[in-house]
Amino acid sequence: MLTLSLKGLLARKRRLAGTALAVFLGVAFLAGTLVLSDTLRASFDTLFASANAGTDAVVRNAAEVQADGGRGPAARERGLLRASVVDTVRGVDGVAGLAPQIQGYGELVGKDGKAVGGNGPPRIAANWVTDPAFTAYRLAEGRAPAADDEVVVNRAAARDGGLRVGDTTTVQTPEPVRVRVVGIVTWGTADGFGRATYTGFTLAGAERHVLHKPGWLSSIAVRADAGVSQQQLVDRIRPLLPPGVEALTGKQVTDETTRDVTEQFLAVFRAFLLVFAGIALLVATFSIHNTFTIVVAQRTRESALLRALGAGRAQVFGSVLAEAVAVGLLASAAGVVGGLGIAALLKAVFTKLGFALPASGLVLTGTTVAVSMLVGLLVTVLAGVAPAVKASRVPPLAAMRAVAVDRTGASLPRAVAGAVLAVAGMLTVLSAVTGGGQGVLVRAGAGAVLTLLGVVVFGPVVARLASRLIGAPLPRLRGVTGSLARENAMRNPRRTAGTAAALLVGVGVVTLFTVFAASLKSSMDRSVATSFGGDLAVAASSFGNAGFSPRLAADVAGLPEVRVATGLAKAAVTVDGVGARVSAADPGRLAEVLDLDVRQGSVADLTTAQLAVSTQVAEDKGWRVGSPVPVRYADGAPPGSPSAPSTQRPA
Amino acid sequence: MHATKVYGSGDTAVRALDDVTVDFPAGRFTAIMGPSGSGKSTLMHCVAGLDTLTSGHAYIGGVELSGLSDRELTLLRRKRVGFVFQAYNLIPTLTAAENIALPLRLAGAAPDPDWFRMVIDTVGLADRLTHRPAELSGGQQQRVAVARALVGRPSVVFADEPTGNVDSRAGAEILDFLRHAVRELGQTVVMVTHDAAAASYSDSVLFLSDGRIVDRLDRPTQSGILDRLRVLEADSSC
Repeated sequence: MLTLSLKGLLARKRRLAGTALAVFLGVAFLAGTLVLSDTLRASFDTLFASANAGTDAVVRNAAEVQADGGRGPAARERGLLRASVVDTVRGVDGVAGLAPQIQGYGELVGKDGKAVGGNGPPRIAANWVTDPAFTAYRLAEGRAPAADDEVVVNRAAARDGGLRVGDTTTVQTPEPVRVRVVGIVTWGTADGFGRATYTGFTLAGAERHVLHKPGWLSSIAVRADAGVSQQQLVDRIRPLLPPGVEALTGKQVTDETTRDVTEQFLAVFRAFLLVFAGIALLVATFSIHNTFTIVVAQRTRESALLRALGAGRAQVFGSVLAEAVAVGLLASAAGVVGGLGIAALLKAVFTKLGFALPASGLVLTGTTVAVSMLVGLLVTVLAGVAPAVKASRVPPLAAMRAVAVDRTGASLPRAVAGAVLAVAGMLTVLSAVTGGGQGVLVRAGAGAVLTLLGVVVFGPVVARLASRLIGAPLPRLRGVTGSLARENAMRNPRRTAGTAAALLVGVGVVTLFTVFAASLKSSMDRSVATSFGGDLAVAASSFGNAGFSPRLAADVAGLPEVRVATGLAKAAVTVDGVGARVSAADPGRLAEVLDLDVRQGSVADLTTAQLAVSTQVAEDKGWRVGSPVPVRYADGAPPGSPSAPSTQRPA
Repeated sequence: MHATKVYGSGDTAVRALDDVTVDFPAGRFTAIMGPSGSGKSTLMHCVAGLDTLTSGHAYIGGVELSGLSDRELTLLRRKRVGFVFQAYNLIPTLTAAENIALPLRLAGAAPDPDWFRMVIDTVGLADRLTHRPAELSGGQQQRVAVARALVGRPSVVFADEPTGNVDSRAGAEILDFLRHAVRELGQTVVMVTHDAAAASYSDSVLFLSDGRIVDRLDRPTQSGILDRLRVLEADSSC
């Protein structure tokens, strides 16, 4: 029986090639996504592990504020550390060496006056760590910075910005700092850490320009004496630290960094690509189902013959399913190999878009192979079940008679069920879109799924009529060929509807992205148009932590052409114990450029101990004007800021 | 077998078999003849368990067919019935040998090598076993089909116009094999045909008209059959 299936498969390879291709593409996309994210994860692992190779312990502020799960611009901030902790740590028995570290934001300006680096990769400004054990950066040309206004930059950034040793340029931290490039560095042997730009100051320069707080540090990297383990080192340092300061082993920090990158970046990236793989597989399901339905219809006589010769229903069912399994296995295996190609291709595409992924080689794990094969196989088999059942129901008598034409599809229950599903689905979508309220997305999504089901069920009912109408001009345009094509489409409405359903999904996906992009644009346009009362907005060209010097707002306001200007700042703070992204602005001027639609209270006379929140937030939290709300900054009490929880008043 | 088969219902009902009582004795070669629409194919389908009776009973070797489930009918076809079709109905992707062994394979049994060789020798296919149906002539394909019907040693072989698609020389060979299977191997064969020459190979001929058995001829000759047919046609035309 298996021989029969496989021989039948070979005899029909042309038709099944289409099916196999559909499965192949879906699986290849899935495997490609998995391979790429595994590769990225492995690359990040290696990168961070080697960057931290000489670090046995890290001392840093224990407080970190995260808004929105730490994703997006200004979403996370960690408190700073007093420089005096360095001496405390240095005195600990077992410490072989340490490096104070400052890391922050610095946008390097190239020779042409434009910012170096693409959107997305970090723009790092840091202190140049001279001890090579604590950094992966190596001096390749020139010398280390010796003065506050001297910097080293990584080779890729220097090349992109047209900068050479001896050149003078600007680093925006975000204040513009005039600096002289005195050295070019590499990250190991690479020209940079991915596409991140790196600008290294002296420690004093970094304190002044990057942190803007002399006497403070981001963290301290510590190396242990031989024979002292990372954990032992941390255990010795920990009791001596001031409150709010923590010590972690080098391994913990590496794991944390890798996890952060994986969760923040890879998860989103992966989900995005997996959606595409899912859609590809959905389309594949339709295609497989169609092909097998045709194959089964074509060999009704063969199925009947097998039944007449003594094959049981299960055997006929099994023979069709065996074909599906064989196609699924072959196509999925090819898909896994194709996935490697897709991963390489995606990588190349992202690099081309200025979004280089630090991926080296390709990582193919057993899980990827297993998941891809299983999903491919499952999709093929599931899509083949219905045709296989149909084949098993062929009566043996059909071997002796002419095969009846498939007249299924136009039954009344089908028409009713399809119509009800489609109408209910569309109503749900419409009510969700126009009505608003709670769970709009869920309701709209459920409605869309209902509509899809309805259309799939209803399809065969209208396919004949639709083919007749759409195909009406064909006989005149194409003569006999045209009328044959039309007859063909009308003859088997279920097949026609199935093919159309696959197209429907494809068009649906394209529409989804078009509508999504248009909605996003229009809602931004609308909110800007209704709330922005100003004439000009000055914004940094990229997302991330890019910004301007606080002085810029005042400078712009000072221009004779400008009546009023206000700077807008954003930061992550803890509000009522939860990380939140907050904006800061000059309250008096804000109202002149932005229509905030204040419902209660007043924004214009907001003090440093007050907070304005949206109606939505106020409702969610149960706040009213005058409610006390505890707010904490990343490090609890940064210099110059109120350290005690302040009563802030929503407006 | 005692049977009535009605297709459709009410005014449009067609009595394809009208209260027919018939018995096909074991070890004999019986031919069923009759004009088109006389019910001869229906009779064969019903007695072979491919179609169900409206009323009455059909037995194969003492087993009543109307009470059998689909699974039991499958087992019955597998073990006790062999078919030869007008259109050969071989699986195009399998070789001649694989086609012949197919019923055994479906039953999960291995062919008895002696019997397999004897059947193949009988139908004269020893040198054609590795060929696909497309590489065989019509007569050779039908010989493969006959071998396939015989290989499982069924209680009865049903042949539906087995010579309908082959030339007369190949037809004669096939009928020789069927007769040989009955005489030498002790098989039971029931054959539907409208060809008097084919029917003359049988041990007895049943004549069907309008769903009824109207005549019977033992040890037939071709001229004897033609005489009866002429009488039948004259009866039905007046």
